[in-house]
Amino acid sequence: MLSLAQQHCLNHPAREAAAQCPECRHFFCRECITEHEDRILCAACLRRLAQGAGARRHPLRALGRAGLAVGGLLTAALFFYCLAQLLLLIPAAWHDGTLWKSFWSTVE
Amino acid sequence: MKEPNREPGQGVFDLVEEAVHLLRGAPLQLHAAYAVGTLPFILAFLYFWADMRRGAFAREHAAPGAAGMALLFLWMKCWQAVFAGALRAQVAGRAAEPWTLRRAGRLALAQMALQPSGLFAVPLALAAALPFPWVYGFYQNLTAGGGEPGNMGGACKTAAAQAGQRMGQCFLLLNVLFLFAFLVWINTVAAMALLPALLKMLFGVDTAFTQAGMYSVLNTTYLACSFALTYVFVDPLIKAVFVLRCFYAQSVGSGEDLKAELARLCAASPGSPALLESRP
Repeated sequence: MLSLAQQHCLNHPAREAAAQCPECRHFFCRECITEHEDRILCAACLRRLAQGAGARRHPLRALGRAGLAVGGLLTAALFFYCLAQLLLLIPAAWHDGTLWKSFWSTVE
Repeated sequence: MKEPNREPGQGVFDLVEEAVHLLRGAPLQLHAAYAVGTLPFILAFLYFWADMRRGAFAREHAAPGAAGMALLFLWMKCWQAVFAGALRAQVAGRAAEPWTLRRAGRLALAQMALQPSGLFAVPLALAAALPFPWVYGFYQNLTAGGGEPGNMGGACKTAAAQAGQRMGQCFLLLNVLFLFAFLVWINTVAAMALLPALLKMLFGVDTAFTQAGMYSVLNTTYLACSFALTYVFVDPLIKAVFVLRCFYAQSVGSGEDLKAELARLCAASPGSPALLESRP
């Protein structure tokens, strides 16, 4: 197989190839390729992927997202419930600052 | 003499300075959007704290109170993502994308699903010390990229990748920001202690603070108020700094910072409109 340096663009045969598309394995010049999510793709594959991403949506996916959101809400509620329990455990003298008042009067 | 590194987004103090300018240049509606999200949570948090501290029926209130706080926390996170998204558009020199029901729903779902884990993860990372910059940066990046198009997994991946970039800068940045937050907190405590005393001295108005004396400063609700006010003062700056960090990290691949600079130059010199035409 010829190396990249010996290849020519699929769309522009007069131009030297600058990259190989990882999806279709064809060679393309600098003008015919683009970067998408850290990958170099040709315009046709990018279009196909974008269409595919739209078509692949599963009806259960929306349900999964909603489930994750409810899970997040429960996690946040659990955190604040734990905080509430912690605040309830702390003695009133600590909350009011009177603990320090009696501490300083003992020291004096 | 060695030339200082002038690459944008590299210097910690440059980034903070740029964030301050970004906030100063932000329209009033943007600050209002931040306040709409944050103030209800802060006020409810202080009420929740005071209620759990000395409320007679605190135990009965704990579960519904926690549910309410969770809802307000997510409400705050959504508005903060809106705020960060608008800042991101501002720094990129483009108009903010219009809000559709679909976009708002996607943002709300992503923030609801991803942000609450930070309530546990950030304190745990702080206790472990070393992973803290990455974990804190990850959750800030989730807010900064909240308004961007894409799915939840993609947002997570991007936030994680951006949190891992320039870790040294992130570590220094957090030190500078937390030192700044500490100074703001000292000032807030001093103002909260002095204002009631001044009120009594100048106008003869007696308040609960003047009656309680100096020990009111050690009251946990008083401390919670000071921390909440410090959060309100400092958090927009932290959001702006992480918006800039994400912007510069993404610009390495997209060249968005160059496009923004080019647009700014073209706007400054109207004689060169041809330059703008090269923008996608």
